[in-house]
Amino acid sequence: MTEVPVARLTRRLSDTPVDFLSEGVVVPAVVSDVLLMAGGPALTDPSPFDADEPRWRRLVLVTCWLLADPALLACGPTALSTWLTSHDLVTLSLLVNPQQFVQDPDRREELARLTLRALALTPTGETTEQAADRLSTVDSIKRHEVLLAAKAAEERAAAVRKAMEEQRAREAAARYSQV
Amino acid sequence: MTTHTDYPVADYEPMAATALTDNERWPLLTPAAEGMLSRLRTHPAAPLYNHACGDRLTTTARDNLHAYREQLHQGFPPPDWVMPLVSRAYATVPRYRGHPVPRSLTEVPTTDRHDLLSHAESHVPDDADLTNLIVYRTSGSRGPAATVPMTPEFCALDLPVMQYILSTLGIPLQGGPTRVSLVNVYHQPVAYQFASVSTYLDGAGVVKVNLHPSSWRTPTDPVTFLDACAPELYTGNPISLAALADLPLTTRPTAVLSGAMALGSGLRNRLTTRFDCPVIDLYGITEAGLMAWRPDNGPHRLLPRRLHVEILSPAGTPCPPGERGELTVTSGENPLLPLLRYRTGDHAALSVIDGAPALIDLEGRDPVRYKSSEGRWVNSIELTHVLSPLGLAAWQLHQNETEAVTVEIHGEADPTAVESAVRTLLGEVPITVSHTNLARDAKPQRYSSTLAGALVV
Repeated sequence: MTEVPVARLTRRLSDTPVDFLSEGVVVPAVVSDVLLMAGGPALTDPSPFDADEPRWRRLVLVTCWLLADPALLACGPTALSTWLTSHDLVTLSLLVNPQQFVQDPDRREELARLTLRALALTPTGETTEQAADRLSTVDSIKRHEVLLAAKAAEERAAAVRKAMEEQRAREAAARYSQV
Repeated sequence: MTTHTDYPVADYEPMAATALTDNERWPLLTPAAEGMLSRLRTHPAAPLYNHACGDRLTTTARDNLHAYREQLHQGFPPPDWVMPLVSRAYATVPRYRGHPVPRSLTEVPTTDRHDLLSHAESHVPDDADLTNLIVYRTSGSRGPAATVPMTPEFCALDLPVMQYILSTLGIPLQGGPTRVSLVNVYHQPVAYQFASVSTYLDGAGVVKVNLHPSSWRTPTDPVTFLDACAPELYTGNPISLAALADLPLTTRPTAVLSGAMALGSGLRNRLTTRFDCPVIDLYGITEAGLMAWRPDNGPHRLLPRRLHVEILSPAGTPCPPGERGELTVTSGENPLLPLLRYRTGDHAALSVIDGAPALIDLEGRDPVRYKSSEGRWVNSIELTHVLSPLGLAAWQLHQNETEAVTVEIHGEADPTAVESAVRTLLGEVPITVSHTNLARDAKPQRYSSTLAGALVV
């Protein structure tokens, strides 16, 4: 399995040109360029990248800049396209301001590691388990899921407590023996 | 009705705990059953009802209970349900979720009433339907009282179980809307009393009564009413059944079922002679329902329910057959409270008798009563009612031959408050309260007495 240094990718993210974060960029054109660089045909249907989701489109641009790393381009146009249109990237854009993937060291590492995992690449010097472990320390989606699960558990516990305190529950039902 | 302003049990305010309409109490109420209910409610000698309670059974629940009765007759089910229950609990019960799923039952940590008391909600599965949740408080005679969530169907399992027990003795439980099938008898200064009907028993009457004089309009009403009911069965505890035996009833039940406390052989003989019918000693806990029974003074026979019983040493290791230890139960029959290795606080040895599992030397709760300075006998459950709210972890209450009372308490409670609580029931008897260390695992017997007549045997 091809290994790629995470540090190289995070450095690349911190060097993201300002243009990639501006409003005026035509996202389908940038995606098309990346796919061409990866040896594929140009983007024929731009509609997926025209969606009215500004945060997501900005994250796609940042990711495109990252994918222009030669080791990532080598994964081919299909893998890159799949990652750019993945549900994870949509979720991530909802949880984190895309600018953070350029400015914040933890978020840079998160996008770098998520991209490596999506392209079936391994960070240099790490086993698959170590890579998964390190990703988990910066994984916004997982952290969000944990928070959601904790919130759901709290709500359920409150619902059970409330049901147990209801007068309807306390009227109960007839018992037939004594224990 | 006499009021008990000095008896701090707010729950017993007449009709204060009702919340449902009759249609909600009996979703399957038939006109014939309604007639029975009306007769019980309006009988001129009826007790001073202070509660209303139905069975809340749906068609599905009723059908499940009928199927359950059939299943009991097929004998002990194979234990192939145990590990699926463990897996389900580890997937859906907050207390277990997130922990590695054990490969065998003995790897599952034990729980107890303290656990249930502090976090009942963490024992209820995430996918359990809360719509028909009902609650019962445990008696608190062994450790602290806990609130137990259950379904109406689980609550009604007593009926097919009792029917099964009776059938093994050749006694039918007939039911039907022209008959009162069961009167559940209490004898306390205050207790819920209500008239009900059982959908499972085809509309038969069911009544819960308190034999205490304050619960009736006239002193002769208990006999008039109970003889008019002429129930198929009386259920109660040794103290209430002893009071029942003193009444000049002319009708006879087909069986008497005693629970909640140990039934002594003397009282059993007295009840058998008095009512001329089999007297059955039941053992169970609110959390798991009825678990074992005996028609005589021999071992308690385990019921062929989906109950897995273990006997554990104080260290938590399984005791070999025949060795006494703590009764520990695993059961998934209450969908709102699956129990995995739940320590009951009661002790026995497990053995096989006539090819079936039985509990030997089951140490139940002794039916102790206490004498007040006015000469009134006070049931230990009444003392539990006044001591439970004080937040004591444990206590031991003893009355000696001179009627002096000592209370040893474990916990932070103020001894003065403990003394005042006991005085509300026992009056001006000498009372000494002291702090002591009652080790949790020892499950000390809470109540004892060396005063003549204190033990109901």
